Amino acid sequence: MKKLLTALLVVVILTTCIACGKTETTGSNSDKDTLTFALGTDIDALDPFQTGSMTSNVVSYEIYRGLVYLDENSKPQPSMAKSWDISPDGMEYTFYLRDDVLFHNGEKFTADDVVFTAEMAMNSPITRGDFGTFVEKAEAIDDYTVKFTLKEPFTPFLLHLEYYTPIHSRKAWEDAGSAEKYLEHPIGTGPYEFVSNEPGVKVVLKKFDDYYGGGPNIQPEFENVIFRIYNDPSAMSVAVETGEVDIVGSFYGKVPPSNIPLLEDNDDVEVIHQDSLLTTYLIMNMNEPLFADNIDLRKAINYAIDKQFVIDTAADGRGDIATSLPGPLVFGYSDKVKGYSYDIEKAKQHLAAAGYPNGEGLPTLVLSAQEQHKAVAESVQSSMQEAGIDVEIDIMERNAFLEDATMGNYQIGIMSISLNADAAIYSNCLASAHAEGGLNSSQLKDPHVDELFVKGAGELDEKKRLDIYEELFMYIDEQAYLAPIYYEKITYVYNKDLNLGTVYPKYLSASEITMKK
Amino acid sequence: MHRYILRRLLFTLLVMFGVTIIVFTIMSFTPGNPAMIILGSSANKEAIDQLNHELGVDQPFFTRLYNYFEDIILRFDFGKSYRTREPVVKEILNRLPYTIRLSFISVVLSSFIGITLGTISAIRQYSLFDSVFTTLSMIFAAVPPFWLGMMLMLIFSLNLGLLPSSGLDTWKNYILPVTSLTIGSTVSIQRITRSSTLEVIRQDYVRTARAKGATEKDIIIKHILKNALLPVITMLGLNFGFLLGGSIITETVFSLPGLGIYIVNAIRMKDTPAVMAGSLFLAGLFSIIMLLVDVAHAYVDPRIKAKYTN
Repeated sequence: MKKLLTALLVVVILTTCIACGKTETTGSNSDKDTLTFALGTDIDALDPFQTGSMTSNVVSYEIYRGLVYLDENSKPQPSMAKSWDISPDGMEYTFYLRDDVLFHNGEKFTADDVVFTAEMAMNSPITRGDFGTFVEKAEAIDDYTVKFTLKEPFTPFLLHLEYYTPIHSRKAWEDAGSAEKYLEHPIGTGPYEFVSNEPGVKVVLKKFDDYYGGGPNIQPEFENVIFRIYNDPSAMSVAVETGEVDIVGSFYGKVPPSNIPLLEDNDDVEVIHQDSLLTTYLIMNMNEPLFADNIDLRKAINYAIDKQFVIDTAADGRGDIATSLPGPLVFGYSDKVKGYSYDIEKAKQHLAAAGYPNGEGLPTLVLSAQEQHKAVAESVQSSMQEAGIDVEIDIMERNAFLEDATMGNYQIGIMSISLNADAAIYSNCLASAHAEGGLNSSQLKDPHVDELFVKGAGELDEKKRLDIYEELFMYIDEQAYLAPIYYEKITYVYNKDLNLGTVYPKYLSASEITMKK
Repeated sequence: MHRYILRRLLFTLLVMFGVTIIVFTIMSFTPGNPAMIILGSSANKEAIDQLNHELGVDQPFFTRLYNYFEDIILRFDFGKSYRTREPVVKEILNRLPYTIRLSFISVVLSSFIGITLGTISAIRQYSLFDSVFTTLSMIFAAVPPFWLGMMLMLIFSLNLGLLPSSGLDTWKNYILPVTSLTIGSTVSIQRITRSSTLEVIRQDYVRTARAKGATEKDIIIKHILKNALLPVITMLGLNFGFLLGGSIITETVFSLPGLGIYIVNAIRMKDTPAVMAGSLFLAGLFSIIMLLVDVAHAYVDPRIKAKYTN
């Protein structure tokens, strides 16, 4: 009798659980007021001046807005600035600001906040290496007019404004008193305001009712936005399938590539692959005479890489062969730069011209790479092997690799970068000032390259700028200083009932995401 | 007894001293520097050097080690996380309730289930019950915890839609991670209870008790269990200690904001203050748990108590 009762009790409990469970996950979408993103790592700080982490910054992107915003073609459009004038010598930018913008703390936005933000940008270790080098000062002409004076003409300045000047409220900082206190409740002018941050768990934002609309002049549909933190890519994948999160992908958090076919088959989610600013390429250490003095070896390496094979193996066919470091989405990209096709014969010819017929006499090259590029490294190794170039792979932990790469402690390596949509910033990868500790892991020090970058940044005429960059990248191509492999696609997996709005090259905009009607 | 406890506490301090030196040395000599990681790929050498200087990481090793000891001993200042600039003690205390809650529930459940199953297995040795549960125990012991966690998630969250897959919003969120942790803990408890009980059953005093006419229930509880529990208590203590810091895998799979994953992420980011504080915390906690285990031994077994009080 007791056993029967126990068994009955167990059955009742189980049934209740099942019943409760089912209603939880089959809720209707009609009254959905919360949009949930998955994030792949924890937030460091909700302030782009205090962290360089992309995961933190995609959240910050909802909280702050800037003077301009970049549309889907990465062209600057008015946002908190209604319009602007550029002086004929390109050194002064005068912005005429909107007078109807409020911060999340109710304060009115004025030119003084822009000046304050510019000062922060010039002092923050995250941004002063860039912003501080081209901006001389910012001054408020009156409450709604602000003038930036540059150190030299710098044509991509407007583009940088979006990244480097998320407008902060001077009052919010003064009230907080310290950076740590400010981070407990960051204040911006964006469509969503900060509600709470549970470290390691989630960040909650809610709609800001007095949002000025931003550049595209859109009011958000969702009342709340939650960013949930996941430690494991597979768990993120499960979460988007069960509906616990609505969106995952790109810089928010990556699902394992092997899950993508499964997700594409799943009718509850949509999967899209977008062109991005991400380029994966092979670097050769230009501090080593082996590469620096031997253009034929560099060309041989370029011809020997089967780029389509790398794309098919490492990225399941999702990607485009790269011909230069900046991809088609970047201003300054030119399709006249041909790159090197995969050609074993030519590779062998150049190898012989380099003094290593059939690879004889060439020492085994050590190819360093991070864990995430293991498949890329292996495909590169196998195609270079066919040309007679012997390669040994050294997979390292991410930070160890980055430290070695930036300091030039490697022979050849796999890098990938995603910068912004103007070729000027690629000087970070190619100009001598950024070698030994900066992004120029190739350790390239060519005065001609440096000179062209300076010229390109300072040239005010758009057509002439394009010509300069075409010349620059054709030169780099001729010199085979590095070996671009492919342009990666970024993937988003999301709830099928959502309309993602504009998919910007680096992020989505929660205020543009809507439910399908 | 009190002197014994005091001696053990002093020993604990010695252990923590050793842990500090070892972990600090390892963190200092592994590649990667915090500034490069914090500033990300957009930083140039000058900014990186500047930030490293502000964080104090460019000073010589012994200077940093000395400063660290000075800070923690004199000022109880464990420093701020390089990544978030928050005091690490605050960050650890934020995560501790989740870790303790999960570990505690798992230990309690695993001890009830494990001891019960182990005792029954031993008493009904070679029966169907014994064969089934001992085999299950060996299977689950061999199964990698990551696989187990993912399987539970796939079956109950994705396929059946019964339970949430991650996070800690409601009590339902606890079910899968606790199950995952409990299974691992239960198998070790079950096996050690079983072997310990088997040993005790063969003892003379059990036969004597039976001959005296004591009831089976009395024999099991008063005579067998009490004696068999000694190694089980040790295992429970070890499990609790392990769960507190070692449930990193379960925390990863279910995205739980626990201490284990905090330390692992801190190691990846070369966030030395966070790693140091986390390691010291775990070392101290573990030592105290083992001390409690030993004290519990003394109370369960008067012979041990006698040893400690001499």
